[in-house]
Amino acid sequence: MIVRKVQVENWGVFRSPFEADFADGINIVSGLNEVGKTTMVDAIRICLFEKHTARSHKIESLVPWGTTLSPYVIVTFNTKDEDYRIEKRFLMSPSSRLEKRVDDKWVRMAEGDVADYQTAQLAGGEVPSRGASRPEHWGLGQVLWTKQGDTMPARLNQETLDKLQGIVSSVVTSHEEGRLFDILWSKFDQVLTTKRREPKAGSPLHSLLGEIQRLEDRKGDLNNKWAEKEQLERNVEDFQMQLAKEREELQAADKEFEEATSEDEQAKTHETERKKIDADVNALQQKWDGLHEKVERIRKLKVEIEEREEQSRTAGTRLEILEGERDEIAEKLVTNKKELEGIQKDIELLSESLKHVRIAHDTIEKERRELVGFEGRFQKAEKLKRYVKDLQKNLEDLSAPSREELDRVRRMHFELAEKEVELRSIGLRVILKAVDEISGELYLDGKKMELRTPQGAQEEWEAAQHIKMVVENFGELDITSGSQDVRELQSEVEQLRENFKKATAQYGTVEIGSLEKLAERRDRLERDIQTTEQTVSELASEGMEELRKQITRLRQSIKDDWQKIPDYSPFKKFEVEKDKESARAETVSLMEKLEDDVGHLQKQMRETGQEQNGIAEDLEGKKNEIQETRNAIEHLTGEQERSREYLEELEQDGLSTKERESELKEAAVELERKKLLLERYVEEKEGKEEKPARRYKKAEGRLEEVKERISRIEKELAVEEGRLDHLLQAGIYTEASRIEEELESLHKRKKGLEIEVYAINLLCNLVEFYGRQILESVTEPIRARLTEDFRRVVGPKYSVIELDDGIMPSFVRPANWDSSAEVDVLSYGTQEQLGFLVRLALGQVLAADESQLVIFDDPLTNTDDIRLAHCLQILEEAARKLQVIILTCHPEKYTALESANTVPVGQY
Amino acid sequence: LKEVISMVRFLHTADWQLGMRAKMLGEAGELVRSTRIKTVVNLMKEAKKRSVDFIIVAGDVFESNAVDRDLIRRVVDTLEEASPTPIYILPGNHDPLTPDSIYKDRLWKSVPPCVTILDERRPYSIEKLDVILYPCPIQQKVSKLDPTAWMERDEREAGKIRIGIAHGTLDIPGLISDPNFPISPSRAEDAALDYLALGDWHSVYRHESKDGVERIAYSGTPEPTAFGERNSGRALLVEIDRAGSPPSIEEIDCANLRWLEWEREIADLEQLATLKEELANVPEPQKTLLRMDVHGVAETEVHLRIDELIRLGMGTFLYFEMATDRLYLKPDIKKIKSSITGSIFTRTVEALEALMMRCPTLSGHVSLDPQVAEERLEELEGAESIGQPSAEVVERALSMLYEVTMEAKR
Repeated sequence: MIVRKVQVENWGVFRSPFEADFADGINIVSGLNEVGKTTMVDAIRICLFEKHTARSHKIESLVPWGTTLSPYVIVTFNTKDEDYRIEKRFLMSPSSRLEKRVDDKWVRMAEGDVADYQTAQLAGGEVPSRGASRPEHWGLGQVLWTKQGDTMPARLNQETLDKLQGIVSSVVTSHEEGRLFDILWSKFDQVLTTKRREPKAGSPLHSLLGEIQRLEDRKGDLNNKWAEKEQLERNVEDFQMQLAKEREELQAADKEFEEATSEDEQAKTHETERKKIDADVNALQQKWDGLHEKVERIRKLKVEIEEREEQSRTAGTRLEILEGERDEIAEKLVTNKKELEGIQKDIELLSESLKHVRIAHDTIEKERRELVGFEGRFQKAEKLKRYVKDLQKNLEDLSAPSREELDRVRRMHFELAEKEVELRSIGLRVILKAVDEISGELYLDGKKMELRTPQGAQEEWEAAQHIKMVVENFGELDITSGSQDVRELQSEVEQLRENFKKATAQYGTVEIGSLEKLAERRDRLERDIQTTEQTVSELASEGMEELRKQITRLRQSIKDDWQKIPDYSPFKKFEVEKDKESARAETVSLMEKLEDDVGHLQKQMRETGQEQNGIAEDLEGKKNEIQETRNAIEHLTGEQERSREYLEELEQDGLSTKERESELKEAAVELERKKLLLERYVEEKEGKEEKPARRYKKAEGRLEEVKERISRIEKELAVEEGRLDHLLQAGIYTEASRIEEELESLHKRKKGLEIEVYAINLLCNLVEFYGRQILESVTEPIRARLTEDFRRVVGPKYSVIELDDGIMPSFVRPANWDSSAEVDVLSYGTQEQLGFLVRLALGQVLAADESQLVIFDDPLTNTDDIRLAHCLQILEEAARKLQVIILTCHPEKYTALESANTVPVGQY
Repeated sequence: LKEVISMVRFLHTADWQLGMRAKMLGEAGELVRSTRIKTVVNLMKEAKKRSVDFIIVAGDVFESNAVDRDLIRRVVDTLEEASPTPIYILPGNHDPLTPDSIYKDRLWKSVPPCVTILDERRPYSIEKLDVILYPCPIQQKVSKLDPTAWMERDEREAGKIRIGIAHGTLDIPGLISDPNFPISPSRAEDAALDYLALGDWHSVYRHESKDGVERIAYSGTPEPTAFGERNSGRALLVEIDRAGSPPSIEEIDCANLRWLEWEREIADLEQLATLKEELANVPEPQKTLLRMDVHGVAETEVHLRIDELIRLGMGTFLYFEMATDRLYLKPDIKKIKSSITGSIFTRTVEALEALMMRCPTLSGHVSLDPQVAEERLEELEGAESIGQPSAEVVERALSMLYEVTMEAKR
């Protein structure tokens, strides 16, 4: 199909009517951006493949901006050498009309939906059943018409690719063929699986095969049962034969048993007789044994009785001796006891004395130690108390300053001294150097002193205000100080002296040193008193009174102790004994002596006690011995009595010993006779008894065995017959017949169905095979063409181009390479060129029957001039078979195309 | 009067073949089996109605000794129908007196007293009648010895009617080679028999002795057992006036089912229509087994219609079978090719033609350019999926393609 003309109005940028004519071959649609080049090409597609009633966003966007005008388009196209004109108005009062040129006149073919449908079909595509049309509806347009920016149709989705393949094959597949193949494949689908070409589940053949298998299985089961039945029949026959044989055997065994039974009866008679003789022998033997034993026993008893009498006599004698010994020991025991009592009394006496000595000793010790201690402490405390009183008197008598007074006196003394120094410094000083002895009187501040200064000596005096010297033989010297300060200071000093005198008056001295000594003495006295009182309180910690009471109590206690010693005691004397020390020594020595005596006696008592125990044991032993002897005598007496009774019993038969012995002899003779008879019978036992018995037992065993075997076989036979019966009742034959018949019929049907299925498979395989063969014959030229063109454009760089299932280039193989590279690795420019060439190659192949329209929207924008030149050359060649519309805003690129028809859009 | 003239009348039947397996009949087998019992029941009733003195069954009551025990029970019941008429049953080669013989089954103990299994080779006198039976029970399945050889002339009792009963092949010279249980055709004369009742052949056969009297006869089976049997589905009613009189034999028709065998030529739709009409006119199709052999060379359309006919026959008849092995396809290649254009289609048809040319039975009906055929076959050699389809498959594929083509055209 090619497009001859497109007319639009109210169509996007084309508000006013616009039309463009297209020539066969190349058409260059040129114009600036946004003048409507793409819009115009879109108008062709919309007009051919959209329903006139479509209201998609795309359609609505066509309405000129700011208006409600209906987009309107007319496309004139040619297909199969016929010219058609389709006119469509969208949105407001939509319409569609298809016309065909007949004898230079346009004849209406269809309107409305029919027109839409027929137009799409004529253009090789279809109208969408719903919604806006999509690439898969555009027929060859989807691969041959490039949209802006597309390089490779390979960007199409899978659905489109499938469609493309369909389109390519539809070039070789007629519509009728298509229908026929559909029917064939649907038949195929009903009976076979696609992949493995096996009967499809649910198909008649599949079901039939299943049924045949089921029946074959069942037949197998029945055959097994049949085999079992036959085996059972053979078994039954075998058992019946065995049974017959065993029954013969039974007869023979029966006969043998009868004979053996008769023999066995005779054997039993013999046995009975033998046993009777044996019993007789036993009885005789018993009789003889009895008699013999009796005779023997009587004899033994008599001897026994005599012996025992002798024993009794011996025991009586021994008893008498023992009793004498016992009496002796008893006497000895009495003596010993008395001795023991004496010792015990001595010990008691000595213990009494010891007790008294101990009391005396303890009391002396109490007197010596406790009483003396207490009294000493008391006397010492008394003495110290008296000493404290003396000290206290001394302290009272002593006039000594206290520490505080001493401090005050010291301070006064110091102040006085200070003032006196001050007074002296401002007072009067006389230095006298005597050339000759001087004597006279000296008055210092009115105080008269005797003046006597030896020759050559020098003396010095001081006064505050006034010095008067009366020198004998010399006269009087009077010096007075007229200063007020001196007088005041003098008076102050006087005052201080007065105060100091008063303060120290009671102590009898004004010397600070003496005062300090007084104070120390006072301290010492006080310390002494304190120390001594302390000692007293330590000596009599309980207090003096208490101490006195304790002493009194102790004296009472001592007196009480002495009371404990009776007056008759020789130790009473110690109470009044003055020399307690010697008394103590005496008591100690007495105590030791008494203790020794007691110990000695006690030892003696223990020994006597042990001796006594020994005697008592002897006595007991003797008593036991006597008892034993008595018991023995008693026992002998009892035995003797029983023996006599027994003897009496034995001799009750009234026979004499002689008579008894004769009887014994007779019994022995009879016994010997019977024993000989028995010996003969025993010798005959093997032949006359045991042999027949064995034969009987054997015959009986044989009979039993045969019977048992028969019974076992009968049982087994019954079991097998039962099983056989069961199988015979099972209707195997009838069922097998039915299965055989059914199988036969199924096999016949299977053959028919198989032929049917094989026939379908054959047809489909053939169709598939030729379909592929023919498809290959179509795609191969595309590939060859593309490879050739590509090489022309890019040079001998790439040797082979491979197409994928979608008839799109998938691999390129660079020259001298073993493996191929994916198209994606090519540069964008090269991809663009490949895409350009793919469309041209496809278009040329698809244009085998009629020319096809190929549209490029500004192609080869990334292509260099040399390659562009090659591309344009190929384009020119291709355009001999194709109509090509190129939209571009660079028309100068195509000036080389001399034959091209130029369609300007807008002002350039 | 009967006693005075000592005439006897008896029914001679054989080869009941109860429990017969009819493998080729498929699902119809069960009905064919049950019909056999029904036929025997009717026959017993008929015998009673005709007041026969006794009934002779000359072997093969059962198809096999292996038949189910249940069948014995049903046979015993069947025999009750004739009671008290005495029935004499001879074991045949299908139910011989082998150790596993069906006649040794316990169920026979419950048989009515009038039934006698002839299990010994000895004369059997029939009470109240001057008749002696000489049965030849079969002890094995196969034998080359004449089972009737034991019958002796010497023992003849004056005035007694002598009837032999045997199962085997009448050894008529040149008729059957290597016969099983051969029976001398002169046994009747040799053993001075008044009648020799035979079993084994399923069709009625009456043997004429040298003196021109029919003393030896096969009663045939009362119900046909296979296609192609003639004179089957019968029993014989025999009357003998007295010892030495020629027997009078009447054939009784007792079959319930008909076994038809047809052969027709079909070359065009017209002949096909005729056949269809013919089939429609067959009476009682539900009691009819029909096996048909069609032959001829016919176009695809006929082939497609034949299938329809077969379906129709199968739905109408008790059993219907049509062998079309000899009905060859003359494919309407031109019509097929002209119906649809397209290279895949054309090549497919050519390939089928080429495959047909390879089949000897079909090659005559194709006229493809041998060079094209060779090309196609060569191409197909490379196609594993095609393989070597059989003539039937190719033929079917072609008619299927025809069918589909017509459908696609519509």
